[in-house]
This record gives sequence, C-alpha cells and structure tokens, in this order.
Amino acid sequence: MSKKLLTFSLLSLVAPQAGAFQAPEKLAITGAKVITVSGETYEKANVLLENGRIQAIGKDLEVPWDAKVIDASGKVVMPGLVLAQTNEGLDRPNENVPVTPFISVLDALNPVDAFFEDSLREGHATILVIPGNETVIGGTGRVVKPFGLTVESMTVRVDGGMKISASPRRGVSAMAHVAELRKAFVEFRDELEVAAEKKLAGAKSEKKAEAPKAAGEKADDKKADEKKPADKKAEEKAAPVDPLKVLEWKDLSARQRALFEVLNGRMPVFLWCERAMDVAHAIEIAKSQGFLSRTTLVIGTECWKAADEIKAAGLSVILPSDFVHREVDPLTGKERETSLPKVFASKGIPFALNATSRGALLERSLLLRGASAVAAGVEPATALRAITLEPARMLGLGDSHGSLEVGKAGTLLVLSGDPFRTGTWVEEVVIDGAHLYSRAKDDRLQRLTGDSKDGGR
Amino acid sequence: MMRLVDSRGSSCSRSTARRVSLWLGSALACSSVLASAQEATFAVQAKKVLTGTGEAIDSAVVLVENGKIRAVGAGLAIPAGWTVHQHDGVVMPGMIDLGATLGGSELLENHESLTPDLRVAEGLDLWDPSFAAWLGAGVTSVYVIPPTGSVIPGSGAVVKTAGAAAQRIVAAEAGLEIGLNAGARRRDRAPTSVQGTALALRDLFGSPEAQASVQRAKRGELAVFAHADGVGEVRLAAQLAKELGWKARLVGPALPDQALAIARGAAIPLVLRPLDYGAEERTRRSYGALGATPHPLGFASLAQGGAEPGLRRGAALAVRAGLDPAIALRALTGGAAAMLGLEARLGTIAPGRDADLVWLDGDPLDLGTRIVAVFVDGKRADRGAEGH
Amino acid sequence: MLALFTLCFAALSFEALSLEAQGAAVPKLAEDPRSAASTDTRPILIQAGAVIDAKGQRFAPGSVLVKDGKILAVGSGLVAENAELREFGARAVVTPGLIEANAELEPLERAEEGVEITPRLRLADGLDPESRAWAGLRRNGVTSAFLSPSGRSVISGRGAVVKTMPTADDRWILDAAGALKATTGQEPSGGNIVPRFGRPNSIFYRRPTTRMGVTWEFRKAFSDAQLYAAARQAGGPLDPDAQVLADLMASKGEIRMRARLLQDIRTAIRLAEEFGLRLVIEEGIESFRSPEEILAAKAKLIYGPTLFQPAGIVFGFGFGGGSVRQQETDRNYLATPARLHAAGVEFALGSAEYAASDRGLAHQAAIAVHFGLPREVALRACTVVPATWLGIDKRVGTLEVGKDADLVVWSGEPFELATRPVAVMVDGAFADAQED
Repeated sequence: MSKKLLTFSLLSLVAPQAGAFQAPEKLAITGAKVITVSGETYEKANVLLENGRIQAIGKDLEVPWDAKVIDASGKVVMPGLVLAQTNEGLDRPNENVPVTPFISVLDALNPVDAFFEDSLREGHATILVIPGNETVIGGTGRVVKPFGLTVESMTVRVDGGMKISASPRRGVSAMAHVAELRKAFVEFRDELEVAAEKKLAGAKSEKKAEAPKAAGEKADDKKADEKKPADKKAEEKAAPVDPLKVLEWKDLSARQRALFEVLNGRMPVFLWCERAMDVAHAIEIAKSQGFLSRTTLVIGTECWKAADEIKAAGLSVILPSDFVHREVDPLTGKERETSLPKVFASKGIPFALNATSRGALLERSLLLRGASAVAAGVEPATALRAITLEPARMLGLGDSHGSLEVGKAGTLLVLSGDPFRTGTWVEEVVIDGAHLYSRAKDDRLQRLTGDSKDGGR
Repeated sequence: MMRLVDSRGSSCSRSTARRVSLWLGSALACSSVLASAQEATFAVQAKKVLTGTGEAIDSAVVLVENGKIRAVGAGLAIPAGWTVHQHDGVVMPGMIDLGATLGGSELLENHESLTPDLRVAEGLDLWDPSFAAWLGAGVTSVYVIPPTGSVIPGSGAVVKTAGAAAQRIVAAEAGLEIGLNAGARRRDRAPTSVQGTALALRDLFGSPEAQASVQRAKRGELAVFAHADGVGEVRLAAQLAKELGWKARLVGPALPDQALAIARGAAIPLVLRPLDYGAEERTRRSYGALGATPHPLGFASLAQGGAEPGLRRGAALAVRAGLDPAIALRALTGGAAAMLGLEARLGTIAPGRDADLVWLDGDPLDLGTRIVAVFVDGKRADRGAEGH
Repeated sequence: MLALFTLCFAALSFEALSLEAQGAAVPKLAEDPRSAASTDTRPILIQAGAVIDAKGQRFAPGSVLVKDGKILAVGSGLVAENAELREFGARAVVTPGLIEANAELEPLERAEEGVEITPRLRLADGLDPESRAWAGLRRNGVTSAFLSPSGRSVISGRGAVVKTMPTADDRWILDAAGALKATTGQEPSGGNIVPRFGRPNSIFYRRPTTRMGVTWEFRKAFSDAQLYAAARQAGGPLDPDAQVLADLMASKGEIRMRARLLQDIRTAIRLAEEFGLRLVIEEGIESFRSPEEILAAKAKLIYGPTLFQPAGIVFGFGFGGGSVRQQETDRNYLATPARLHAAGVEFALGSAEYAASDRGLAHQAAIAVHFGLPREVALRACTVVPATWLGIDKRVGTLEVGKDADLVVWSGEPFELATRPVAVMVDGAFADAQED
C-alpha cells in the first residue's frame, strides 16, 4: 500500500509541474538551428512545446495561434545541459559521520543559493545535487532544476542516487576506509536478515493463532502457506532467507530504507574513485553487493589509468571539472598531461563532463567544458552528448531529458551561436516548458560583460 | 710467501680476532703487515698496481721509504734488507673525497650568509669517528668543507684520514666554498634567491675591502668550489667564474652531462656526487653520457659525517651507467688531487708522492671488491678494513 | 679488465690541458634542441588550411617556408623542392609565435626577499633551462616571453626576454637586462611584520606594511637617487643601487609597474610622472574603470590575467577572503579587453603567474575574444604589440621573410576555446609533440 503510494508520488514528481512556474500551455521557439543531440540537426526549424513537453520539432511547423513565441532566428536550440553531479547548493557537502545512507540532501538544499542562479545562467537545466566525497556512504541526492523557492518545486527526481566513496576520506587509510565500507554492507545485510526472520516468524505465529478463524477471510493471501505447512518449514531450513525478497518498505525503519533501495537495485549509485587504485575496489564492491548495473563512477583525474577496467565492467564515468591529469614522470622528470575526455572517448566509454562554480572561468560552464574537450581532441558530437544525453542517462532520465525528442521534457536552451564557438552565449533557458531565463534581462551578467550602462564601473 | 694478516679474515669473533692479531703482532714480528706498519722502508709486490694516472702495471713493485714512494714499476730491484709484502690483488692510491663535512658539528657559522674568512681548519676535530669510516672505505684524504647552509660558509681544508696529528692537515685553506644551490639560501636571511646571491657575490668580489680569502680567490690563487645543483645554477656559476676571475670547480650538479655542456667551454672541472642506488633514470643517463670525456672530474660525497662516503660505490655505479672506468678511477684519485692543486703529494703512485695506498682483492670498480688494507704515509692505518 | 686500465693520461695537471682541442672526442651529451635545425640546412615547408601573418594578411590555404631558423617565404601554395614537408591539414591555422608580455614564473626562482629595493637584481641570473615552465609556455603557443621579477619587493630588479626553448649557450636569452620592475599595491608589504614587542629577530621586521608604505619606499629610493646623482657629480662616493635609478631617470627609461587596482594604477602613473619615467603597467586589473587616465599618461598596458568571475558583480569570491593576490585579481571585469579596445587603448595581453599553466596566453586571448574583443586585435595583443614594446619586433611578432621562424600551428581557428596549439616552432625547430 505505502509502496504504491511512493510510486505514485515519484511519478508525480518526475512529471513536469507546469503550474509551479506559471508556464504557458504552449510555447514555440521559431526559426532556429535545432540540435536534437539524439537525432538530426534541423536548420531554421520550429520547436513546439505543450504542457511542458515537446510536441513537435520540424521545419515549416505551424505555430499555434495561442502559443507564446520565442523568436530564435539565426540562433541555435539545444537540449538543456545536465550537470551530472555536484555538491554545491548545499548547506555543507559532507557529514561528519562516515556511514549515513539515511540522510538526504532534501534537508540541506538551499533553493536561494547563488549556485542555482548561476546554473540557470549557464544553461545547466537539470542537476543532481548529491552529498560530497568525504564520507563512506554519504546519503542520497536529488535531481533538481535550478529554479523554484522550495526543494519540492525544484525536484525532478527524489531518489537521485546514493553517494558512496571508494576512496579514503581525509586522514583515513585506504585499507580502513574500504574495510569500513564493506563492514557497512555486511552489517546492513545482517540487520535485514534478522528483520526478515522476525517477519517470517511473526507471520507464522500470527497464522497459527488466527488460522482457524480467519482461514476463510484470508484465503487469497495465505493459500499457499496453508496447503503445505510442513513443506514450507523444510524449505526454510534448506535455503537461507533472501531478505530482499521477504522484506517490504513498510517493514523497514527510516534509517534502513535508502540503502535497501540500493541493494534491491532501485536506487542509482554514484561511486567516487579518486585514484586509479580505487576503481578495482569500487567495482568489486558494486558487483558483490549487486548494484553494479545501476552504478556510475565519479572519478578523479588519475582514473584514466583504470579505463580498461572501467570498460570491462561496463560502467559510465563522470569526469572531474578539471579533466587534465598532470604528473611528473618519475624516471624522465618530464611533465605528462593526459586529457581524460580523449582517453574515454577513444575507448568508447560513456562519460559526462562536469562543471563547478568553485573552479576557474572555464570550469564553471558545461558549454565551455565541452569546448575544452573538443580542444583536447574529442569529436564535437561526443562532447555534446557528454553534457546532455550521457549525464541524463546516468541520472536515469534518459527517456525524459538530454535530447530534443517528441514527448520528452520541454527543457532546452537558445544559444547565440554554435555551442562550442568562442563568443557563444546562453540566450534563453526553457525548463519544462517554462521560459525561466533570458540573457537580455540578466542584469548581473550585463554588468559582467559590459552591456550594462555604467559598464561595471 | 707472506700473506696479509687480516683481522677479519678468520671465522672467529671480532674480539677474538683482535686478540689473535695482537698476539700475531707480537709473536711474528716482521711477517705481518700490522707489524710492518712500523717499518721505515718496505716493498710491496702486487698482482696489479693502478697508479692513479690511468695506467695499470701488472706484477709491479712499489718501494716505500719514510712514508713516501721511492719507486714503482714492474721488475724493480728490491734493495737488500727490505721487507717484502706480497699482495695477491690490486694496489691503488688512496682515494680523495672532494667535499665532506667531517670533524665536528660546529662548522657552520650561521649569523650571516657570507663569511669567507672562516676556515674549517680552525674548527676541526681530527678525532671525529667519521674519519676512521672514510679511511676504512679507502679514502685517505678528504677536502673537509663547512656544511651547506650559507652562500659562502668559509674555506675548506684538505685533511688526511689517519696519520700523525701534526701532519694530517695537508692544506689549511684549500678552496673557497660558494653555494649557489637552494641549500645555501634561507628564507629568513638575505640573499633569499639565486639572483640575490649573484648580486651579493658580485658586490663582494667587486669590493676592494673584501676579505683576504676573497682577494686570493679573485686572483685565482684560491680555488673556488661552487656548489650548483640545477642547470640554471650551473649556468650562473660558469658566468660568475668568468666575470669574477674564479679558478672554479663545479660541485654537485644533478645532471652532470648538462653541466659538462656548460663547463666545457669555460674549462671548469666538475665534482660529481657519487651515484646512489635507486637514482632516477635521467640522473643515471646523465652520468652515463659523460662516457670517456677528457674533462677533469672528481667525486665528492658531500656527506655530513656518517658511516661511509659511498665514493667508490658511487663511481662504480656511474661506470655501470656508462662512465668510462679509467676516467672514474682517475676522478677518485689523481684527478681529484689535481683539482686541489696537490698533485705533487696525493692521488698517484709515483716517486716522491705520499705513500697513501689501498689494497683491494680485485677491480676497485667492481661492487663486490673488498678493501684489504689502507696505508697512510707508508703506515698501515686501517683497523680491519670495511667492504666499500 | 686489462683494457680498462690501458687508457693512459700523460698530462695530470689539467689546468694546462687544452680542453678545446679534445672537445671533439666527447661522446653524446645533452642535446641542444636547436642544434639540429641550425646545422641542417634542409628547408622545412609548413602547410596548413590558413596562415595569418599578423600584418593583416590571411593566406588560405597557406604555407610557410623555413630555413636555418629564419622564414624564407610566406604565402599560398608555396612549392619548394628538397624541402621537408610538414602538412597539418585543412583545419589547421598558422600564426606567428605568441609573445607573453608578462610571465611571472614563481617556480623559476623565489623572490629575493632580503630587502625591498633591489634595482640591480637580474632575473636572468636565476634562469633555469630545465624548468618545466618552458614547456608550459610553449603549450600556450608562446615562443618569446618577458619574464617579470616577482612582485614581492617594491623594486625587484630587471626582467629578461627569452625564447621559450632554452639552449645550452645563452642564445635563447634575447635580453638579460630587461625593464626594471616595481610593484604597487599590497603585495610587497605582505609578510612584513611590525615589531610590537620582543626582539626583532627576523628580516621581515621592516617597512612597508601598507600600500602607503610601499609607495613611500619607491619614492624614497628615487628621491635618494636624485640626491645621490647630484652628490656624485660633485665627486661623491659610488652607490651602485642608487646609480641604477639615477641612470634610469637620466635616460628617461622605462619602469614596469605592477598595478592592479585603480588606486594602484593611479599611484604608478603619479610616480612615473614624478621621476620622468616611461611607464609600463602590468596586470591593470581595474584598468576598465578609467581607460582615459591610461591614455593620458601614455602608459603601455599589459593586461591580464582574467581568472575568475569577479567579486562584487557575480558572487563567489568576496573581499577580505583569500590571499592578497586573490583579493586584487578578483576585482577584474571580464569584458576589460573589449572595453579597453573600445576606449582606444592599445594593450598587450599577459598572464602573469599563470603564464606556464593551462590558463596561459592562448587561454587568456580566447577569453578576451569570448567577452567581445575582436580576433585580430587579440592577435595583435599577443604578437606585434608586445614585440614592439619589448624591442624585439625586428626578429619576431609577424610572419615575414627574414624574421625568426617562430610560429604556432593551431588545431583550428586561433583563440577559440575549442582549439589548441598542436605544434610550436622556435627558431626553425619544432618543440616536442603537443599531443595530449
């Protein structure tokens, strides 16, 4: 019952909340070069949005008489950028207690943090806000859009993912850290087993007491058990209980639920690996605990050395915002630079670029990160996917976000020119059909770029 | 045929060995080397004598008289009545360490960075145990320098590692030490940078009131040992040497081949650190690239006290990296003596030179070769020689 | 084993040894990266999608012919028999090697912190040919650079102009005694301590500890030098430090002042006027606030670097936090180059302490273009303008016949954020591959 409720609430949250932004029912973006990312690129095409979703894309589409129109002639339309993971916009990114799977960014997310205003300006329309890397199991994140005054109105997806660190946090040895991580899972499984046995035992005694009277009423539920009680007992002794099958949401405490969702494969996992040596631990743990298929690696620059292992495990990666690995060759004394996007692109490993407002100028924007990746030798199409469709898939939003397709969320950008061209700006941002940002009205940016009357003086 | 009595040769314990050798010393008066240490004249017949000039003489005889070498050669006539010691191995000149801080902890005056008038010879403890360690490793003369830590910490002295106290200091002011490397600078005392060091040195050497040692260095009478690590510092050392008239020696470059490329034009001899186990590949290659260069080379342990100089081992490793063995050997002996201006006394086995000899059981640049005996001024000085 | 010892050296006293005569016998040594180019007389023909000569011409497709470290020809469809052909593809663009007008490379050497006024210091004495900074500069397409002394002293000495490919000899140093560098603002006072109690047991117990103190130190040094010059003429004793400053004033020489905030820029202009010096302003972070004053003072401006979104306009780095450097540089304004250009100020671009990093000149120029500076102006600000100001325009700055063969091959249009230098040539020799 309560599980059904949750599913329902999830659905309602994933669905666009047109009402929250007073979005017009219909919006038309006209005359633009439309980069769909997943399919073809149209010249001088129109995009029609209705009720927050894309209704049509194409040349010579008729603009409904009652639609709001954004004239994008000579401009470029592309999907809203997806920031694959960040710990900005939070009260503070890391908990002091190392194992806290039960906490959620829900309680720390600050909707008026300047980070969200800046994200909107950069066209980062879908963002996973998740706890930082300085824990063992850090808690759950949320996928949000950078607009709204309450966490609820910002939320795109509640179960954004669990942050788990395979790299030692500060002041802890790698051995101790990984041991702690394993222990957390072992203890949790023990906990579940006890709970499952208790549940089964409870059900039995209940049954014994109630069976004679209630047999008729509960026939549907208990038919199987009632038929062969002796066989059932034998089964219990022979095969160990699988708590993941026995237990339901309602049987668990609030502390247990998030990690339970990880183990049963419903919660995505974002696994932090700072160094190449951590990758093997991360894969091993994800495999042994059964969540490998829902895992995305969040990696540090050195992890390019483990690219083959990552590929063999079939994982995707989220690159650090500064994606150049630098090291001095201990033998020759020469400095060696390795550009991660190029390595992962050449090996065919799906990757997402990442940005941070704490970094240097070029690290703040996914568009500029994409340009840098192209400079490093990545094909422009690959770089484009790495800031849209790939991260959307990692967030479990591949069917609704990351590309311009009919039926997908009406989340898109109008750019002044080609995405990776120097001098290209984000002109308009539309999220779920709501026109939320316009460069012409961005006073702060105008002060920055000299369009303001006082020239920033 | 007489054989060397080695106090470590037997399988008995050290103390027993000492007792045995003492006993041997008194009982077999003239048949052991220990006893012969008291002789004024003796002859050594060795399988091979390396003279320190690059020359090797097979089945040679060395005649020692009053602490000096009288003659060396194959088939020399041994004067009647002289004791003859047979050595079934190699004899080479005592090695020379071109820079080590031995003889006490009070060798760095810290109050300022330029103290050219300080002399190591005046703060030296000749009975510092490190001297014995160096001696055991076959080093008979050490150019003792103040520890790194000042731009000019003072002047160094050439000291024998054994012998009569009155004769151990061979040269009291053998060279002026100048540090252009990072270790010579400190953040809390001017100069703090390379360019500041350059300026301070130009000012000092340009001043007519500069100290006597500076004046001597300026006239080229006192050698300048310029410590330079990186290529930039080497470059500066060569430039200052030219500008300020130094008779310079370049000490401790991290990449000797790069330093050689700069020093060759300026005819500045190089003093190398011994190559150590586990050296970086680029360092190894750099040593190896010296090959058979005719450029004057020497080795300096640049150690501050300690148990061993690692000099012979360092040269052996450099040879493995590609340095010519004859060049390495000369750098340990005759070449080093020439760099100190003491080639008339040290570094070679030739008539008139000090009888500083090392006996080994094989090729000195073989890592497995052991030292069997060390003589300083014609007297056996080691108390059971060390392996390296 | 025997052979080892048969090599005989007769001469022991090497002081007398003629080293030059035996030089030929020396085996392979550290290789001079340019020796190949200088001895190999075979010309190199570089072909690309376009060649921009920085004199206003664009050849598409373009080629450059190089021989003996000099440019033989620039044009479209050049043919040279016997030349080594280097083709870079239709997307590649060739420009002159960039000139970094302000490289303040900390790792090269720490500042001299013994005293605040050190006019005789020369950065050239501390140059390290082995430094990784050179490769970092080359990765930015930089082939010549002015190396500016650290800004931690009030008057910190002379900079140097170098090519970014060091040679074993000093050929790569174009000017060992470059312009005299001084610094205004807060940074020279950083680390100095006011003695309040106890014994002053550190060299840092000294003036200045404020901006005013910094200005005072500068003014005192030059005023003293004026007095000294008069006394010296009357037969007074020599003071080498004061002599440098007196000579500079007498020749109306150039002073490079690092000035970031507007108040510091004004201080620099005032001081230069006071002592009759020609002014070069380094960094000029707040120059956008008053381009007119820079024009009026006829000062040369080397603007940059642009690093972060500025404080006060968009959130992020507030005042009062971070280092002095950050507090000052964060007051920049991203459209400054475009605005200076609009106001008619000619400027060069510089990246100061970021010159050897991936935020160096190529990046700085791309940002300037991104924020509105016309491309051709950006190119001039990285080539012709600094070459002229550094007095090396006869050799570098444009692709012209007879000039040094210093050039950059870009993967696409230069100063795009999505392109990078793929090959850099200094004096006719390509540096190591720039892949990855």
